[in-house]
Amino acid sequence: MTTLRKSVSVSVFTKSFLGAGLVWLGGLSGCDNLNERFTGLWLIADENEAAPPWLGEGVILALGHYGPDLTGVVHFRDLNGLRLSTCACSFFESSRVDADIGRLSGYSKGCNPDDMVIWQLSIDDEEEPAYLQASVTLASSPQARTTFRLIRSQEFVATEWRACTP
Amino acid sequence: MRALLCLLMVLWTTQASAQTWRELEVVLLPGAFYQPLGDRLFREDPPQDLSESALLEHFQTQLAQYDLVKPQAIHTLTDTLSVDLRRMLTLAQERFDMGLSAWKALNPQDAVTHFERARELHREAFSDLLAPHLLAEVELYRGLALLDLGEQGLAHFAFAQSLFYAPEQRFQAGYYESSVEERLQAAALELQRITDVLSIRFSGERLSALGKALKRDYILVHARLQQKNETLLQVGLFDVRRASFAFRVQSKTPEAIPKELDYALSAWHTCALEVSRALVRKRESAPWSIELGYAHHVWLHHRPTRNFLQGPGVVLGVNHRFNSNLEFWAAYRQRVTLMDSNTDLLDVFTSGHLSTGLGLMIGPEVLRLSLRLGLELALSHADITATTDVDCKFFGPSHPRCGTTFQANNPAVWFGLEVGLRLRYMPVRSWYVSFDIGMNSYLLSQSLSSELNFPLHASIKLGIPF
Repeated sequence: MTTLRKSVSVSVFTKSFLGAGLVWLGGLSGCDNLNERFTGLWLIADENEAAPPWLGEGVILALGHYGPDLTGVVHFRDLNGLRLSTCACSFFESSRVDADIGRLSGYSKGCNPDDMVIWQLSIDDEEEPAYLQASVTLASSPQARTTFRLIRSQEFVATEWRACTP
Repeated sequence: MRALLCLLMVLWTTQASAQTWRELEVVLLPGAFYQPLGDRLFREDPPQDLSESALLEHFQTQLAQYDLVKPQAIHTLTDTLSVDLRRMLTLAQERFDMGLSAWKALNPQDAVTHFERARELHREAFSDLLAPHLLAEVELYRGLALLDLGEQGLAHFAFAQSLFYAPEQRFQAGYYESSVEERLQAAALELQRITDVLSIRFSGERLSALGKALKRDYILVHARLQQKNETLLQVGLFDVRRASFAFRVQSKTPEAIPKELDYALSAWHTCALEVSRALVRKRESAPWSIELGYAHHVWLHHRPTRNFLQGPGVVLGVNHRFNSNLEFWAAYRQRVTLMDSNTDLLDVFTSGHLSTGLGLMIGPEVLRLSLRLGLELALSHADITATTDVDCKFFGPSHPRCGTTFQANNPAVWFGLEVGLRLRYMPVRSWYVSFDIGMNSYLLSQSLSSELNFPLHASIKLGIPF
């Protein structure tokens, strides 16, 4: 649909009716909405897998995806899922979202507020539950790079996960 | 000044009367004179029958005396014949020429084939009614070719047909062999058996087809039949629409015909005059109608969102037709505006749109197009909140990261103009389907109309007149 939106640049009438028609037909046919495919609450897939300390040992992503835009909160947790006293959360800032190919990149602060963490995520939502392949780099030390897998535990992000008061 | 007014009145009256009554166009066909020929079939110097043209002229003059009757001799209509008829006539003539060449080249078999095709083409071109002498010529040569083939019986009938179409034919004595003359003489005897010459010469089926081809309502035909010392003159006026003779008169004293024809014409004229269709009150459907249908809309101006906003709805309408060109209309549309794909509109909102105005209609009752102009008042039934800031969407409008949002509190009010086009299809008087497309331009409430404006809407409705 995004491709169509880009290519259709005829008159405003044609554009509006075509767009309306496609949205309507899309809604009727129950197509998955690519514009929201990253939305959800994402947890580390393997309970035994630990993230590096600069991300806390456990990490939870609460993402909101709206078309070309994405925002969210990175929650730092220990392996038991408990909130860390040293670092609680950070806002996720997206820099590029390619919903069509299922990739996005962004950044956030690390567990240490002075650290900048660069995120590269690719989604596989063919399977149930969907998962994100994360490749995370510490900006100040490019060698400090880790990869892990996140699975979507909820498609709707509850208000408590959207809140972040570091 | 007064003179000018009088002149205008006269002109208006003349024009009105011309538009009021429908002109009766009567086509006059050439007639035929059937008489026992005996040895008169062969004459050194065939006499010219002047009475035929005099008769036609007389009928034309007599018809022209009646108001709104327009007599037309067939030779004046040659140009109005359809291309197909003229083409058919040309083809028939070409076939006749081919047949003649074959006959002269002593090839009677080919000649007969060509003459038969020429005969068919002449029939299709209505030569039996419009130019019978052409068909008579074809039949004559067909008969001669058949004689060459030894087909005596068929040749006899061909000669009889030839004389039937052109009974005024005379042949130079000694021009043909005596055996041919004998055959022609025998064929001429066939004509003496005819009594009701008008019905045989001008069949209803052929006249009806010709009238339709010429697009004329009446055809005047006549024929004469000599019986002993008397000449029977028959005149008939064929009504093409009814496919039958409006009247027929006949007399053995030709002098009495004008009077009898005048009586018949007078009676026919009284009933035949018709008021033109323009003045006949059209049967129109009931003036009121109510309709219900599905509507879809798209906001063409949508500043708070990047993508178009659109959604479905229902429409209920009432119409009142003042006359065939003007109507009053009112409609209520209940719309749902859906969230766009970027979710810039944070939630769906419903709105009610009440519009009314006048419509200018054109076209027949069954398929009518109208241009509608009116005013619309619209109210939203929910708050309208929209933003392109992703943080506002995710964290909420009150979050510190949220920049700006557009918010219109319930009820948001729009007021403005509506313009639309409507196509109504009414196959029967009890219901119709209409397709409408229109757009609004909101003027009131500048803060709202500068953000959301120009909804384009289309609908399909089912309506019932009452």
